[in-house]
This record gives sequence, C-alpha cells and structure tokens, in this order.
Amino acid sequence: MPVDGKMASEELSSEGSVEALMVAYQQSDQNAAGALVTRLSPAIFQFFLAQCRNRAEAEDLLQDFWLRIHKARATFRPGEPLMPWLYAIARRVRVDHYRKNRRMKEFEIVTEQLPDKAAPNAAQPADPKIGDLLKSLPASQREVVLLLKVSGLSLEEVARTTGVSIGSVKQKAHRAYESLRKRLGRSL
Amino acid sequence: MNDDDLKQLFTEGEPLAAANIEKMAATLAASAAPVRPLPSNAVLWAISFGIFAALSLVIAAAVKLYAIQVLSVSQMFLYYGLVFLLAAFFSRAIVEQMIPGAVRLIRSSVLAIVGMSALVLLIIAMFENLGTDHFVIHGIPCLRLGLISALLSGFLGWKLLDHGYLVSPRETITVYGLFAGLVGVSVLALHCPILNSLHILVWHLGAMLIAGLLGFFISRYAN
Repeated sequence: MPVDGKMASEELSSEGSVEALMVAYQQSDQNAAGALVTRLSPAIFQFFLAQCRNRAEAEDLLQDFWLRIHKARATFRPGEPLMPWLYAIARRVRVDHYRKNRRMKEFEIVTEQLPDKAAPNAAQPADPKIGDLLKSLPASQREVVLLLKVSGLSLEEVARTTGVSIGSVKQKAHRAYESLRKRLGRSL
Repeated sequence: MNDDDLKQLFTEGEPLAAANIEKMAATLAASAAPVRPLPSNAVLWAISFGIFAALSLVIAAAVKLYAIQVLSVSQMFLYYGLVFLLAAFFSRAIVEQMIPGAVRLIRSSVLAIVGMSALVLLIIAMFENLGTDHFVIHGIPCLRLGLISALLSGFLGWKLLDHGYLVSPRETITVYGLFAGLVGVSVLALHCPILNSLHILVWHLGAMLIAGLLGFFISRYAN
C-alpha cells in the first residue's frame, strides 16, 4: 500500500474529516483508530524527519507520538480543530526526545575515536542541502517553517500549536523565508 | 525561489513504510477504550477557580477571619479584589496549558511577573511600614499557614492537572505553584490582622514565592 508522505493538513482534514475519526476513536472505535494512524502518520513522520534528519529516530518518535496520543485522547474536545492538538503533542515528543538525548550525551564517555566521516547509509538525509538549510535556521523559525510548509498548517493552527500569537508566527516565518532565500541564492 | 519550491524541498525523501503504519494502527486499535472528553475551558476554569475560592474561605474560616475586622471597606475591596482577579487569571492560564493546541490568551511568565508586581505595589501603597518589632515571631505562623494552604491547594490542583496533557510541564507546574501560593496569600489576607506592609510582603507573599519555587523544582524533577 503506497503512502503519500506529502499529505498536507487541508487534505487530511477533508473527506470524512479526521476530527470525526478522532471522536470515534475516543468512543473506542477500532476502525477509526486504525484509519487515524494510517491517515495522519505520513505527515507527522515528515514533521519528525525534517527535524531529526534520521529515519530510524523519526520512526521512534512517531511510535512515541501515537502512545502519547492514546494517553492524551481525552483532552481532545469534539468541535475543536484536531491539527493544533496533534502537532502540539508532536512538538512535545520532539522536545522531550531532544532533552533526553542531551542528558544522555552529558553522561557519555568517549572510549574510542570515531572515523572522521561515516560511510553513507540509509539513515543519511536524501539531500544534504536540505539538512544544511534547516540547520541554518534558529529552532523556533525552523519549527514554524516545517509546520507551515511540511505539515500544511494555517497561521492560526501554528500559533495554537506553538502557543504564541499569530503575529509572532508571521514574523518567524518571514525571517525564515528571507534567510532561506538568501542561502539558496548563494548556493545556486 | 517561491514558497512552493520551499515546500517541495522539505518534503523530499522516501515516505514512511506502509508496514510500519499498519503495525502502529493495529497496536492503537487493539488498545482503544472509550474515554470521555474533558469539559469545556469554562467548566475547567470554574473548577480551578472554585478550588481556590473554596479552600481560601474554608481554611480562613477555620482559623478565624480576623483581618476582616481590621481592614477598611476600600482596603478589602482593593486587596481581595486584586487577589481574586489574579486567581481568575491564573486559573485561566492553567486551564489553557492543560489542553494541547488550545488558544493561549495569557502568557504565564508575564502573568507571574505582573501579578507579583501588582501585589507588591498594592501592599506598599495600601499599608504602612510599622517596623520590625516581633517580626519573625509574628511572621513564622503566617508563613506556615500560607504554605499549608498552598500545599492543600497544590494537592487538589494536581488531581485537576492530571486530567490534562501538559505540553509545557515546567511552565505549567511552576505557574500552578504560584497559584497554590496565591491561596496562601488569600487565606492570610482573610485571617492575619497585622497590617504592616513589611510583614505582608515578607511572610504572606513569601509563601507564594516559596510555593512557586517549589513548583519550579518539582517540574524539573518531574520532567
């Protein structure tokens, strides 16, 4: 079964509405739970992948995400938009993962020198230019660009997801685009 | 390069394997059990504010409402008005943080700073500094009562927070610590008859500050 990873939130929200699926999932509808995972996973996966740039890590984050969705499902209220709710939890998963990694690194002891450059494998990003572009942005701007462009959220949805005002989202997006355009202009 | 080109760039790469999705879908479907969605923000706000008001009045009544006998009507109006107004804002901020993706009308950090500053300014403006006679002897019982009230509020509030999903646990628990401390301030405002600004600033607001700090350290540990 091919799955389109470029599905945006408008597409997800249409036809049979994911909100309705979520409500059915809250009422223990097993088919709705499955359908929800099938429809939302590609977009959430892209959100994680674009930030960690490692497929295995992104898949782990996705699993953790669904576990948390399961635990937090009572906090979704019918009539409210689903996307900000989902992405706020996805964002929390990523932040926790980042903090956990940082703590682990603090306690790591280097026992041997690694080679200067690792051999290319499937875990590497498909195009290093994209990784470089993203890394060049401050974390808050990167997140806003990803939510707007990869996840296809509206400005209001991004504001709700990140807990800031719409004006702040606009400002971050504007700065991020400017920065990306400049960098791309230089590299082309 | 336009926005569509950017979108194209960021969504390149192999999509997620269908087998992985099916596995996750099966796991989630197998463990689906019915849940009741949380009530509206207004109901949660009412519960949170209700905890504040009920605890303040019950504890203060239990230790006697001496302050009411010595405060003037305007002092009561301003002091109690500000405390209850802050409680309403803190309740709202906490409720907003319990629901992922909820509209945030109140920034917790701003509320904490503005709220504490407003209390300090009002106390300095409204009460005289009567010196430090018996400062510690009179102060310790107030601090103790304030902290006990904050702990009771913190315990009840924990039960409420446990129903939500905290997207910023550190921020939420710190703010809840301050809110619990505000219960202590409220109880002391109803009970303590000492109208010395220094006493109120140190021993009454001190309870709120300690509760906030306690919340901050608990949030770090819990995280």
